[in-house]
Amino acid sequence: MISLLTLASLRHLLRHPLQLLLAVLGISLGVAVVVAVDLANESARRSFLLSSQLVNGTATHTLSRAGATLPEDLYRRLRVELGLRRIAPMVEGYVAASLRPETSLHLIGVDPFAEFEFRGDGLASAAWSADLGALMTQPGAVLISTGLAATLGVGIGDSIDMITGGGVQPVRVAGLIETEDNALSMDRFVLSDISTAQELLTQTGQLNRIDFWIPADLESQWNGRLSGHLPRGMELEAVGTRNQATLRLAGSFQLNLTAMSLLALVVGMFLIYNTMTFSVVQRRPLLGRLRALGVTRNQLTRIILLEALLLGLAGTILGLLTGIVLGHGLLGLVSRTMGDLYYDLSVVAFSVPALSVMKAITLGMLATMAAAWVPAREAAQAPASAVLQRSDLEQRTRRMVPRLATAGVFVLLLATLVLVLSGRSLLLGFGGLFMLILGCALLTPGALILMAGPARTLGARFFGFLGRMASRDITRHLSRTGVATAALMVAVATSIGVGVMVDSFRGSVALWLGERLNADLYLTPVRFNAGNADLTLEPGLLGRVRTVEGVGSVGSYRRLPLDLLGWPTQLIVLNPTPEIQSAYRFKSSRPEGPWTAFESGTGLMISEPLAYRHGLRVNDLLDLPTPEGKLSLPITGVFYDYGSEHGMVLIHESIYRRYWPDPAMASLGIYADTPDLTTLTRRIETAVADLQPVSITPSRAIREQSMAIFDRTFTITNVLRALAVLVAFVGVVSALMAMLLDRSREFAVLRANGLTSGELGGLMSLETLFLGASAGLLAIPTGLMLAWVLIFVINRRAFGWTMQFQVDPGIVFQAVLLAVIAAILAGLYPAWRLARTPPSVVLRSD
Amino acid sequence: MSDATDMVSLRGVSKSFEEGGHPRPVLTALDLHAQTGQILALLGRSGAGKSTLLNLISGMELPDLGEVFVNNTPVHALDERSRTLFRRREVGFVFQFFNLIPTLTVLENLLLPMELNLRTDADRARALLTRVGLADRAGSFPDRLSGGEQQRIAIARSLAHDPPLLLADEPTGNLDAETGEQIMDLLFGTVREHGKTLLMVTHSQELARRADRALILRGGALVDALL
Repeated sequence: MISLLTLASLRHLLRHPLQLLLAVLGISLGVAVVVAVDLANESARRSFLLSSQLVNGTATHTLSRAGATLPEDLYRRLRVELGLRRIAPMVEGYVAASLRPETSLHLIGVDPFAEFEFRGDGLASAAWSADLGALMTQPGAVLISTGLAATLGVGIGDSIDMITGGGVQPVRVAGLIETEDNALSMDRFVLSDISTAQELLTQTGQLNRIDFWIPADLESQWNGRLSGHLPRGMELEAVGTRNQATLRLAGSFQLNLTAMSLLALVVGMFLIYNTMTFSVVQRRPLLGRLRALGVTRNQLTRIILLEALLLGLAGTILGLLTGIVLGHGLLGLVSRTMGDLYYDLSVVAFSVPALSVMKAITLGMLATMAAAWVPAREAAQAPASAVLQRSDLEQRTRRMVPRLATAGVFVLLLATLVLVLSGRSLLLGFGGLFMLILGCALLTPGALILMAGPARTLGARFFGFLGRMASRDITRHLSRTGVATAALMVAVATSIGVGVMVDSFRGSVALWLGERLNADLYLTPVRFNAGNADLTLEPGLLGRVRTVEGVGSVGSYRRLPLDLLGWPTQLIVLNPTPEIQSAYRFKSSRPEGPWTAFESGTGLMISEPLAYRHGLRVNDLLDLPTPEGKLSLPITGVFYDYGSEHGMVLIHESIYRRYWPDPAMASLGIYADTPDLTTLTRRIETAVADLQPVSITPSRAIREQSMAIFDRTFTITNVLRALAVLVAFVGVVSALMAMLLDRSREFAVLRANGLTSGELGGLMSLETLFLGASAGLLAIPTGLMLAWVLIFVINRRAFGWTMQFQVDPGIVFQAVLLAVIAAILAGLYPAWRLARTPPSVVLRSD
Repeated sequence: MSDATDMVSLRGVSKSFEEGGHPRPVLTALDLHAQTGQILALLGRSGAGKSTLLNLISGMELPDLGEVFVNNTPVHALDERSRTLFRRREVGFVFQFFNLIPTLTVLENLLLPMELNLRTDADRARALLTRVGLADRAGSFPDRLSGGEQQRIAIARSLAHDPPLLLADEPTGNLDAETGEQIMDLLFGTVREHGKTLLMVTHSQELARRADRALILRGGALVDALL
């Protein structure tokens, strides 16, 4: 049976439905943001694994070659000469249907007969459910899913024009694949046999990889059998290891998102703390009566914690449901960023893992209970007789201010120590960041007292006696205003911190793009999208461009994926003209400069993130995996780069030609001798027309495209920032509103003594205005400190980038304005309510 | 030790409060003895320390010096938790502003002290409500009652768990004269009927005259009132 104490407490909650609703809303929004990000992250991770599972099936290992294809003959030798039966070839690449050129399709070429027995539930086995005969016997035959067929409006026997590396080629739909499980949707796959895929991708006689099914206990035996038969540069790699390495790429990005969402929860925790503190403060007389009746401190603590538990439970459940809806929306943003930056997501499937639900419940409940613990203890520790006295609470709060300030300084010092001494630990970096927020929050009540003096002078000057009264009330009710101001300050500071960080990042990237893209025009093969970024230029094209009138100099460039030190990185092949050399800015280099050894092919250069991640420095030797085996070269320079957090290795074209079988380049940077770039573009297009369709783009357009991708990447960050602000907004409005409603009696006394309802509204608005403005002003230094830590500690540790610190006053102004607006809005309802209620009614009620 | 017949015994009790950084003495070497079944009225000016005296007797505050015995329990020597449990068991309160729990019904307000003492007895609670003339308001919440009715409920509540000692802090201070008179009849009647000891703070000399003994708190010490 429910005890009377519990009953009294529950009825108290139900008697204040607006406060209850706002408190639950505050908790639920905090939890929802965390759940949404967790689900979006988890779903993106699971989507990648599903994509991998679809392509790989149950293959345990894969044989591939760094930045190159495998000769088809190798597969024949392994199967015939070594007698390996549990292997299967695969050709893969990206195409697009001309009807929908913006959607990249993953083309997979398989040999269904080679792998029928052991591929498992993968994509290849699906071929067996369709018309296999047609697939194997008809040229240009492909299988697509029923979903894709419906999207493209085609059926069996219809032809589709596919945009491929070699131009537009027709394929014929030989069959449709039915998929029962939505999570394993095959709508972004096109399946063909090996030869059709080779034709479409213009790689006749070449495979992308050979998949192996090796029982775990026979792994070393297989390695033994293979050794000596594999050409140099080829590696047999476990699929699981490869997947993990790929997933690790996005680890920092996902951790950052999680931390951002936790920031929303921290803001939420302040608000829960505020709500619970207020709930306790509001009931001090009631708690005093209970203490007088013999209710012990522990019983009081338990009652308040039980309330918090119920609020937390309601908020968490609501937050969980909201989070699932929100997560579904965020998944699009997260997976698009993943696709842009990290790995292919041919399948995007939203899922709600039980673990995520458990995490959300635990986090929501723990956050609420932790936030409620202090007010619960505070209420219970007060002497029984003093609980009845309001003045006692305010006096004790005032007495606590120096202690809080001391604790704040101590926590800030500790945060500094953690940030300085935690090396490269990202988690400890976040720990330091959260301590910084806590430290500043602890200093807030003290700062509020210091600001009260000037506020009083200004208030009296501009608003007369109302201004004086309002500013005095802020410090007179410090037990409530202190926490509310701290909560609002943290929320606004978070907004400033993240805003300045993103803006600084954007500024750094814009500067870097301006320096790096210093050619006038860039020439690449025609691409329909990023899916076939590895298209190369025809031999002879470079020579042809150089002869065009108006072309000054030409630099060539190629980018290849490279597995380096266990991380997928990028290999950049460069033929650096002096103009290209001037486009690179170095963090460190050899005394004689980085380019001398580079140009002679006796050194390489690496990007800052790669150097940071692996602790590499100038003159260190780097083992570069090449198709011809390992190549050790010294590092001649470390350059700034924001193009890839995975890192880049820069080598000279001469090394590339020596060690890689495909010496083609992928793009050209053209420096013009003429200001008329339109005419020059036309001339170049004419000069190379018979060789290859090319795309010539001015550097300005590339810069704009790059910035558009940057902004797209940070859409999710800005959404989270907005959500954190929303959490704060709701919480602060509720906290301030509750605070004012609680003082109804006091305001009614003022009304009874002759204050008009307009003056009372003015008084309440001025109080909230002072509070909002104080929180906004205090949020500026805190927000800038947060931004500094985010830029120089968090981003550096997560991505290895050095960014410049730039503050847009607009961001700061917006944030402060937001604080003031939230605070003023909070005062409207109580002012309206009090204006409508005769003071006698308020004064009569107990 | 206290006298065996004393329900309340205070010896050499001093208490001061800090105000503006300076101690302000309220009670100075105060002695008080109230026998079982006795009704004692405490008079004195506002701020004289009457409520502080009740707080010391109930264990809500501790003396700076001296001893407080209630029903032979050395309240001054108990830790905070023991004092709370002592208060729960031995003391019933009647406040000037009633101090009922607004979120509990009238009946539940009476049941609360019983529940805290693990002796819930709804029949006894209803009997007490009948005694104070409010049996028909058992399901009402306190804010639906008049001041006089609330104070009658407060008296019933103070007796609900059958404590030997009742402390009343200006029980009629918030009521009109006629209602106050009725309330005091009720309080005195039920106290005598149940054989309780009552310590009552009041400003009314008329009320004090109805007590077995009246004391005035002046200059931190108690003197017999000549009424």
